[in-house]
Amino acid sequence: MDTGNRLYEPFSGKPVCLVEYDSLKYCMGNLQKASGFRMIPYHSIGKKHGVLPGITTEKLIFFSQGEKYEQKGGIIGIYPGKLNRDGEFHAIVHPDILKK
Amino acid sequence: MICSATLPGKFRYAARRNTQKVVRQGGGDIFYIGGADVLPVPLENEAEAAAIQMLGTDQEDDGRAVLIEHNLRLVVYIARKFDNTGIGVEDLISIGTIGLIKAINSFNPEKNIKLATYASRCIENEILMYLRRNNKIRMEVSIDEPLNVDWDGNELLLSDILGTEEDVIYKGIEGEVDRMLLNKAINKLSSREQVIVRLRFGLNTKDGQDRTQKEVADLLGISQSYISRLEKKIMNRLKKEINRMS
Repeated sequence: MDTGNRLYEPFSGKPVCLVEYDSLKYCMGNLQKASGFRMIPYHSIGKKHGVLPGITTEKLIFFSQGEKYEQKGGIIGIYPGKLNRDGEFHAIVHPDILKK
Repeated sequence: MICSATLPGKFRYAARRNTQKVVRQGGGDIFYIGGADVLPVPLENEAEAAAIQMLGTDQEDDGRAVLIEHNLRLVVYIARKFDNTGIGVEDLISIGTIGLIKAINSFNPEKNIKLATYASRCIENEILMYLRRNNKIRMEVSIDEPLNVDWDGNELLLSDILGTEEDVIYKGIEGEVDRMLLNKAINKLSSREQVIVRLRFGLNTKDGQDRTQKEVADLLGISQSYISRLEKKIMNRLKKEINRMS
């Protein structure tokens, strides 16, 4: 599978899942603590390169077609804009996470 | 999936996977994002100057992004120096990154100092402040802290070895019973003997203080050797009384 997301966090080498800031902001209140905060360098179409704020989670869990995928210490990249203009999806999973 | 092409090291291109939606939308969403395996190298002097120039203009965000990106190596370098503090390097990098962002936000190019020098100071400061804040916490230990694990994987927790002495509860009760017996036994003595015992051992006296044989002798106006002889007799008597009661 290819989701177009090939972003890895360079400090730990872990894959990064992108999530729109708008979907996260309701649970951002208790993220004031610095621990797990990252700036992730990236490059993409449209914008040659930049840095993306990221947070380290305790655990990421995905459900897809009846299967459960889990990643301890998974990293979320916070995307400031909209990932999709019609708002049909708000996150882009990293394909590595869906490997078992 | 519509299209996915990869030219190693040059460019990678991928389209989103959900075919139906893309067809319906006609154009579809193309999304590609990738990252480097290693952190970006530090900027050349000119490139850095250009990025610093952008600060304070409407391109500020771009300039800041470039400066953060290319100084992340500095953060890792400084975070490693604090390796021996018992805090994970990943956490130190998080805090150091915040120091770096603060440095770039507060950097004044007119002061004759290199950004890297200034940023190093800020990153170090941020980490030191964090360490100081957490010093107190580090001294605390959870009572669920495993101290040891045996071959079967059973954990020995700190809470397993904490506790009061086994007899702490009934020690008090026993002491009370003993005292009751002693009082009963004393009541069987003659009144002068009672006075001597109470004064000598501070039982039911006002100050509760025990006194030496000499002090008791002076108080009662008799010799110390007499007190000594009486005491021996009283002790035997009390022992007998208590044995008879229990």
